[in-house]
Amino acid sequence: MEFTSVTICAICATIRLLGLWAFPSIGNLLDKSVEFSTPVTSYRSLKEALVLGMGSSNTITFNNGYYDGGVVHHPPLLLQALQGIPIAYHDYLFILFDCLILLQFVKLTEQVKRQNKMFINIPTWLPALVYAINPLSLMSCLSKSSVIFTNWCIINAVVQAINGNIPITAMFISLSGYLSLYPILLIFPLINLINLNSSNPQKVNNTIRLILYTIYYCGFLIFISYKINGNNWNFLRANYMVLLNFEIVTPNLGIWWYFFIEMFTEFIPFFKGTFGLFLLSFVIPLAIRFCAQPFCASITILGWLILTKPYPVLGDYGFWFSFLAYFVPIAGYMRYKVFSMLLFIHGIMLSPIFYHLWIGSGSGNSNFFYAVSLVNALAIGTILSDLIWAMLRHEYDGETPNYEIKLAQV
Amino acid sequence: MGLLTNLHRKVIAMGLVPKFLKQLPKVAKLLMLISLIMIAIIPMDGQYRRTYISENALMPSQAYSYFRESEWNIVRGYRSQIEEFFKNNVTAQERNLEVESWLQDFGIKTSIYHNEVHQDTLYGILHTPRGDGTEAIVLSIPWYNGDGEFNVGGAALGIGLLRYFSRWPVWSKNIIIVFSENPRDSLRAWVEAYHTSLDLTGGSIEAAINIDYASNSDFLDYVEIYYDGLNGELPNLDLLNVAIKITQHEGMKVSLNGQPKDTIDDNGYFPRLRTMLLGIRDSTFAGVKKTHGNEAFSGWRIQAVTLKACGDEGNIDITTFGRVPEAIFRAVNNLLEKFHQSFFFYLILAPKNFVSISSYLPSAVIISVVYATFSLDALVNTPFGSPIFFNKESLVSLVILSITLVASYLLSQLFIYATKPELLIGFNILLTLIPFLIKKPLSFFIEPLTYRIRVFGYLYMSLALTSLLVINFPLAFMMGILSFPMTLVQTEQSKVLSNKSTALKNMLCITLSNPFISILIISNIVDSELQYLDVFYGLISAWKDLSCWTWFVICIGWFPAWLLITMSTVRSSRVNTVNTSKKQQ
Repeated sequence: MEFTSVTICAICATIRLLGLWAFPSIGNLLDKSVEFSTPVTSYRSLKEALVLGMGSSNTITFNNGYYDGGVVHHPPLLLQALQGIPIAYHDYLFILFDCLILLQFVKLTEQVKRQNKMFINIPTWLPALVYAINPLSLMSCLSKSSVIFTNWCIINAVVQAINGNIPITAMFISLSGYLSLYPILLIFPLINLINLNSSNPQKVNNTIRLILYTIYYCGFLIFISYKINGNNWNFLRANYMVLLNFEIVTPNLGIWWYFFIEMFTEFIPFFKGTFGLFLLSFVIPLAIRFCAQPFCASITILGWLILTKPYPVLGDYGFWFSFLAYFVPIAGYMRYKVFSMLLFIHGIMLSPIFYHLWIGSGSGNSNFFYAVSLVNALAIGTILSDLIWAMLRHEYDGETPNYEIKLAQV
Repeated sequence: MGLLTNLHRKVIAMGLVPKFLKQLPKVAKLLMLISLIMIAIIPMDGQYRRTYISENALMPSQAYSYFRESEWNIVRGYRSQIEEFFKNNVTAQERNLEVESWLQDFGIKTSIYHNEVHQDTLYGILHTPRGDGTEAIVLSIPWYNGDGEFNVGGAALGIGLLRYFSRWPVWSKNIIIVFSENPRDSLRAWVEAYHTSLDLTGGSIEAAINIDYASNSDFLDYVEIYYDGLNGELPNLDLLNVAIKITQHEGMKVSLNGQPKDTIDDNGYFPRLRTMLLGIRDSTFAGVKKTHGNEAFSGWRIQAVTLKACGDEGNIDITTFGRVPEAIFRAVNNLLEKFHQSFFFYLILAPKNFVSISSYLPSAVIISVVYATFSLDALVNTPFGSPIFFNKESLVSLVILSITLVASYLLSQLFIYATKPELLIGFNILLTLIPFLIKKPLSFFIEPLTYRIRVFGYLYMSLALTSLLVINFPLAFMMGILSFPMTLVQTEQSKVLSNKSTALKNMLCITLSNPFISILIISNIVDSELQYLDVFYGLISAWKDLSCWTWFVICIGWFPAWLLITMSTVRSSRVNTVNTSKKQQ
């Protein structure tokens, strides 16, 4: 069975359009569910930002109070780009972006197959197909969550890094950081990826170029935003400080929110610091340890960011799971595949139920829902540790899988 | 770390893991037994707890109750008037108008909620002289109770109580009185309308007391209290405790789950076990069997109980019974917050004994683990070499699972539009015969596939039970036990090839674990109210009238798993059992 990129795109678009057509209200429903929407990524808040900015006119007027109201959490350039598209077409815009992500997956697979013999047996269409039929990415697309734009930037950055194209990589990674801050940390594994694949053998030179380009693009994006926003810096606070400080305390699938409830007021600064450091502290070590396997390291770090970020949604997971297809060649090393998969399935099945018990019927409480958040985190943590183990074994066995040798993990 | 390493090495050296994996079916059966034992020991001394009032503000029976003999004549007067309605066959509309005028006499704001399908409901609001009127307590009195008897005593008592309440300035919550035609659909329709469309409302309802006194006698014998809500919801244990405590304080005996009078006073292991099991039964079939009125309030964060006066002889008079709602209202009136202190998940063993969720949930979790273990067993212990989870058979099974899911959903919808239980049972008996009838296997239906289908069948059952067990423990527990026979099924060609006795045993297990057949059997055994095929009509009317999900849980949670297991017993084409251990890639 072979799928061309056109076929996969067609499958992807058909499934999504069918979903739209068969359940017209599913978008709103998912957008209200805690699993697919957070205040910083949901379509509700995006629409609110657009409507609030536009009023009755056709363009957003970024007056001084626009970002001060605590409602808008999307960067000015994204809003600027979206204002021209009538709301009725937004559904199709998100489907289009899903297809673009798919095409990048196909491209990515072709490239990694060419460059690393480890991936030679992966069918070119597999990761893309996983993305197309994965219910999580499907529902995320239908819920019109704005993570899709971030994801598109991330995959573009990875593809370009494997191409060894430094300026474009820097542009996309800056763009993804500009949209939702944390993906900027992917620059660390991408440095290694570029060094591995660039035609220029001078590693230091490449690294410095990538960093400088990234700083340049970030500065450029922020400066443009500053200008668009009527020479006002307040968009920085509304977009990024909200994430760093976890300013909107609402339940979500992540591990942050529980510690920011009123009961722990005294410790909130401490928790902010701890979670921030926690998120940061594993990125650089992972990038350094796996500098020889930068592509796998990027995937692992992306998973780590999703696990520890303040406002994760299932759309992030759906995107990340498609990347896991690249681990198929060394899947034999993973020991808890079935366990972590079952854990994850239980987590996502129980989370709406426990949320209902807490918010809906009132017979449960926040502990119920946080317990499910922890189950989810445990599932992702198990997958991550499995991936890291597989990468270590792959290195140990000299890049030719040898499943006969048994090694103890402890 | 060193210790762990040693342990790990030792485990590997002794080969414990493969040995353990070989014994999985036994482990699972053992777990099932443990789960049953865990439930059975709950009523033993030392395992359960005495009830207590958790919310200090409630203070049940701390204030003196004044609803005494002075009110008796008033209640009697209303009762004789209401009896006239019944004797003269007055229409519901005229009766509502007449009662409305009585309520208006002492300053109640009234309104009639008109509903074409579920009949009219009269309700009135006594606005609180104190407080901001954002909260309310409901006194609901269905004109006809669950048995279809005219609720003459209850109606007279309700009007008398409200007249008495209206002369009192202590209320800090609005008091709402509701006269629905029946305690089922019409009360449910009113509750829904109250939260969506009614104009005259009195704030969020904190608690609802349903009164059922279907006799014109002045005296009663004892009181039955009903508390099971729909979809596994229970009222906060504080409210139930308050109701029980007050009833006993007024000198009446309390019967739970409809136990007859002569068993009320029994104390000991077996009476407690009996009360607990009856509670599980009633909660499983809540909404399916006759309702008492408290069920109608489920799903809106309203704590509700039903007080039913039983017997028309005895030394308790109607005003004593009236003092129970009075004192409950006084207690709830004291609340400053919503009910949140006490338990929402519990099992009652006796009026004064209970266990909370932490005591009984583990056994339900274990039942869910049992199915997960069988799923693992079907994955690991196959004659086809080392298990690879992600392969073609898995994909095919997944597709089959999706198809059965859609089919089950369609079946559930179809049955709602055409409720024909005989056809349903016949159809299912036919399904159980299919493994017998198919002699020649289809070419794609190879033997490894049957194992993989079993993996998904048990896994699905386990998932369904896990998701259900916190929402509706009794239903999850019942489903887990009733579908246990399906784990004893053997795939057709494992070891004993086409053995007649194996096939017969398979068919018996499959028949017993069929959701519809086993529900039919169990409802006829445990519940005298649900005779013959009543349970299916009950399930459908519970969905239509009360939006109770039990029917869908059975159809979508249980039936697909059963279909998969049945499918796995169908004769399959054989493949070589030689270890074709094809590694991934």
